[in-house]
Amino acid sequence: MSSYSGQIAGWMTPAFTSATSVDTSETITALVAEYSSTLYRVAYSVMRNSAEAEDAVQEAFLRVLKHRDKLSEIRDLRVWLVRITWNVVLDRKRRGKTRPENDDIADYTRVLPSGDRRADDEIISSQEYGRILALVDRLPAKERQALLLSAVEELSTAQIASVLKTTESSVRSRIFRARRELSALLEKEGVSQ
Amino acid sequence: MKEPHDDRIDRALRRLGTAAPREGVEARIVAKLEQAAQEKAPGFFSLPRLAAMFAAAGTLCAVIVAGSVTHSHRILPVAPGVQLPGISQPGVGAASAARVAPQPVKVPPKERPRSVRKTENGRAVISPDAKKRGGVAAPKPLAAQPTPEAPDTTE
Repeated sequence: MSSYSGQIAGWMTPAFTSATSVDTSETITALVAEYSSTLYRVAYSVMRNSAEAEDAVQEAFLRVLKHRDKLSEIRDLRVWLVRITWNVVLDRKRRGKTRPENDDIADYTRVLPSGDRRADDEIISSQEYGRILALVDRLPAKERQALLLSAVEELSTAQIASVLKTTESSVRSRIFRARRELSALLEKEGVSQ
Repeated sequence: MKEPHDDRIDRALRRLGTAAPREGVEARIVAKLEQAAQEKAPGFFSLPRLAAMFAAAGTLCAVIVAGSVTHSHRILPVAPGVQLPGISQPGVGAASAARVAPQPVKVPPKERPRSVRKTENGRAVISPDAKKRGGVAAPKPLAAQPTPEAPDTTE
């Protein structure tokens, strides 16, 4: 991380390096180191594509760089960053500038736990995983968003509520409705256990 | 109350929520930020090309119109007649703008075959040199309806 701080300190102020800019660059570097994985998971929950998720995280940090003078005013950096990433991925999804979902087989290998299960089981499980995610996409937007954010373990209900600009109770009820509806869809679709 | 498919949903969500990025994601993000920061700040000469093209086209059109108007002013003959100084209007109005004649318009000589009509006692006098057909042009009566009462116009 220290090598990144020195690097960023150099490029953020090409003409001269002031103490403030060094602080800012170090802050951004620390943010990248600390939150890039979380933000990747947030982006991946919507994009379902590794490269797209990484692009979205990069774009989110570019926005952070653009508004770096506001960094000192932010109370909860995690929520702020997740919200930026969330907006980025929703924008990209809306514009339809996404690659096909799960086009990268390596995504599965990174997602799947490397237990002692047989390869056949994992493939079947991946198929079911894909079918369940396809059903998740059929949920209403509010319920779907709450459910997807709840999948990211690093985020508490309060933080999800802050990202979605609603209350905790609303988030809980949305997640509950989403799960109930998803269960009903699974029942209807007859996805085998 | 637990839904029947809760376990499967939980497993799917857990798998989704534990996705790990490719190795070196931090380095790639930092490299991207570095590249973005090193890009030059947008200045006047880095305006979008489309805007620059529109500006150039607009300037060219203005030059052409101004040149055309200037040229028209230069070659337009000043017609004799009423010239109204001071009423000229600003703007591009080559045809409608009133201009003051640069010098008084000379009275044409008498011999000039122009404006030969003269009035005498309020009546028009036809020049003796004028060659006109005798009589007054009148429509011919129709053959089926002769008009004996029609005045004789031939003298």
